[in-house]
Amino acid sequence: MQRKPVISVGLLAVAVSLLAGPAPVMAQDQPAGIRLGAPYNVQRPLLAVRPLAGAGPIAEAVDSMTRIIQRDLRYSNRFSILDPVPQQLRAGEVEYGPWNALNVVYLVAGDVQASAAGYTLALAVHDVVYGRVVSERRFMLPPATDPDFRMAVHAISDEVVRWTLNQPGSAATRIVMTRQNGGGSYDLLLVDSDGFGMRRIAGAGVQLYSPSWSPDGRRVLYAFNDENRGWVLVERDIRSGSQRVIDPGGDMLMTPTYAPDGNRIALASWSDDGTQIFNYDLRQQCCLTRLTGSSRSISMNPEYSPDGRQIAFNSDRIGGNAIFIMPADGSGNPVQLSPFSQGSSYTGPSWSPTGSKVAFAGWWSRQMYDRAQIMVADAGRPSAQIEQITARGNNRDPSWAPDGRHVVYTSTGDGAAGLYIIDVETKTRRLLAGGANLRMAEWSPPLLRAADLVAQ
Amino acid sequence: MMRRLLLASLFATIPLSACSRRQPPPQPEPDPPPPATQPPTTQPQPPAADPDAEARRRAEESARALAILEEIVHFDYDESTIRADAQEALARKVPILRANPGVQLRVVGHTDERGSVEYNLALGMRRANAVRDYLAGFGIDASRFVTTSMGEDVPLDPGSNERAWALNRRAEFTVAGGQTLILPGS
Repeated sequence: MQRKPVISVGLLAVAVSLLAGPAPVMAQDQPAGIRLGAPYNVQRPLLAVRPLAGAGPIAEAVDSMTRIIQRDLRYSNRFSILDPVPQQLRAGEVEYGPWNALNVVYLVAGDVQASAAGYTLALAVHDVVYGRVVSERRFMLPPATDPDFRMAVHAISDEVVRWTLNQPGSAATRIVMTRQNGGGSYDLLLVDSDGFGMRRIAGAGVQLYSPSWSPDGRRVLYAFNDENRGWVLVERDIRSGSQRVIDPGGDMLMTPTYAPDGNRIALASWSDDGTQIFNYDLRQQCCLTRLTGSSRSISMNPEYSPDGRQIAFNSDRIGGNAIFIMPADGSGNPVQLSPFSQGSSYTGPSWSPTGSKVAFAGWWSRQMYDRAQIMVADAGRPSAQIEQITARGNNRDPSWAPDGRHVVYTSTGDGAAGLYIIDVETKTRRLLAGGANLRMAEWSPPLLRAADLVAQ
Repeated sequence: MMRRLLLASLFATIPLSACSRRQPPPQPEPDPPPPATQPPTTQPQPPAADPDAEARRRAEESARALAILEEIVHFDYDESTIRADAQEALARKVPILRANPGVQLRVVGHTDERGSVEYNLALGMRRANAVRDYLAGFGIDASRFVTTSMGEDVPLDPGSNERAWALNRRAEFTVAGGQTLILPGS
C-alpha cells in the first residue's frame, strides 16, 4: 500500500502563492515592453493590535474599534499582523519582553473612556525592538451609533500607518461606483474602503456614468443622460444629497474629472469631429476649451496629474486605443505612455495621487482582448518597461487609493465578478464588493484625518 | 442645446423601446375582428370591394415597411465601418424613408463588452453616426435621424463569447412620426 502523499507546509505556501498571484502560463507571450509583476513576499514588520481597554457599557464599541483598526492595518498590506494576540498579553501593563519574543515590531495599544461626545481613545504605538513609544495621543470619537463612527476609527488606523512608517493610509476613504441594473436603470453607489456600508446615493432610469471625486472628497461629479436635456454633468454633495446640473454645452458629455484645485474640470464631448477632451472652469462657469486635436478620433478619460500640470487620457488616434500624456492646457504633442503592438488597446488611465505612476487597463494582442489586464507605467519615463499587475480574468477601470499603493478595479476574477482591490507592491488582492454590474469605481481622497479628532 | 431640446420633444410621445426596454415595441395595428353578424366565408372576395380587407392590406404593408426600417445592422470588432451586409440592409430602408417623408429614425449604437465601458459609449455613438451618414449619402435629410448610444449596456445576448459579441455590435432603429407607413412598390 502506498503512503499518502504528505504536502509540506512550504509546498502548500508555494501553491497558495501561485493561486493568488499572476498565472505563470501567461508569461510566455509577454511582449518586450511589459513585465509580469510577481507576487512580492517582502519581509513586512510584524504588528500587533492589543485589544483596546474599555469595559462596561462601552465594551462592545471598544471591541468594534479594535477589530476595525486591526483589519484596516491588515488591508494596508504594510505589516504582518499578529493574529490572534496571545491571551496572556491582552491586558495589563505593556512590557516589551514577551512581544519581542514573538518578533513583534510595532504594538498598538490603548484605552477608551466614555465621554460626553462619545469616547475618548488614548492610543499609543510602541516600537518593541527599540523599547519605546513611537507616538501617543488622545482622540475624540463619536458614539458607535453615529454614522461617522467607523470613518473616525479608520482615520485612527491611517494615523498608525503614519506614526510607524511615515506613509499615507487609505482606510478613511470611500469608493463610488455605478451599478447597471439592466432595463436602462443605473445607480450610483458608495462603499467604505473596507467593504462596509454599501449604499445607493443616486439613481435613475437613464444612463449614469463616470463618477469622479472632488479633491476635498465632499462631492461627486458624473455624466447623466437626462431625458429632456441630453447628456449633462451632475455635481452631487455626498453629505447633504443636494445636487446641481452643470451644462457647459456640447453634445454627449462623458468622463468628467476634477483638476486638483477643484476649480476646473476636464471632460470628453462628442462632436462630428470625433470625441475630444475639453476643460471647463467651474467657478466662472465658462468655456469649453478643446485640448485634443486629433480629428475624428475618440479621446476621452482625462485624468490630471497630482500637480495639475499634465493630463493622461486614452485615444484611438493611432488605430487602437493607447494612453497618452499631454500638458494640461493641451499645448504640445501628447506623449504615448502605453507600449504599441499589433492589436493592442489600453484605456481608462488613473494617475497615482502620490507620484508619477499611471494605471490603465488593456491588452497587447487580439488573442487576449477578452482578458484585459491592469498595467502600471511611470509617467516620468514613458519608454520604460510597464508592469502588469493582474493576470486572471477580465480587468477594467483601475483607480488609485490615496496611499498610492492600492488600486480598485472591475474584474471577472476567478469566476466571482466584482470590484477588487490589489496592492501593487505585494499583489495581495481582496474582493471589495461582488457583482458583475458594478463598474467605473473611483477611490476617494482621504475623507477624515486623525488630526481632526485630537482631544484638547 | 436647442437641437437637443427640439429632438427630445419630437420623440417625447414615441415609446423608445429599443433602448430602454421599459415599454413594448410598437405593434402593427391589429387585424379588425370579423363582423359578428356575418358567418365567416370561404369565398375569396375582391380586395377593393371590402374596406376591411383594404385596411388589412395597408396594415400589413405598414408592418412590412416598419420591419425593414427596424432591421438591425451589425459591425465588426472595434469598427464603425458599414459592412456589406449592413449596406444592403440600410439600402432597403432608403425607398421607405423617401416614400414616408414624415418619418424620423432614432438610431441607437451598441457595442460588445470588451474595452472600457466609457470607450464603448463613444464607440456606440460613432456607429450610430456612421449609419446616419451612410443613409444621408442617399439624399435623406440627416436631420431626420437622432443618434444615441447605449454602449455595452444592452446586449442582445448576455454571453461572453464570439457569437454573442458579434450579435451585440449593432445599430438598432426606432421609428417615429409615421402612424401608417407606405411601402413603395406594393
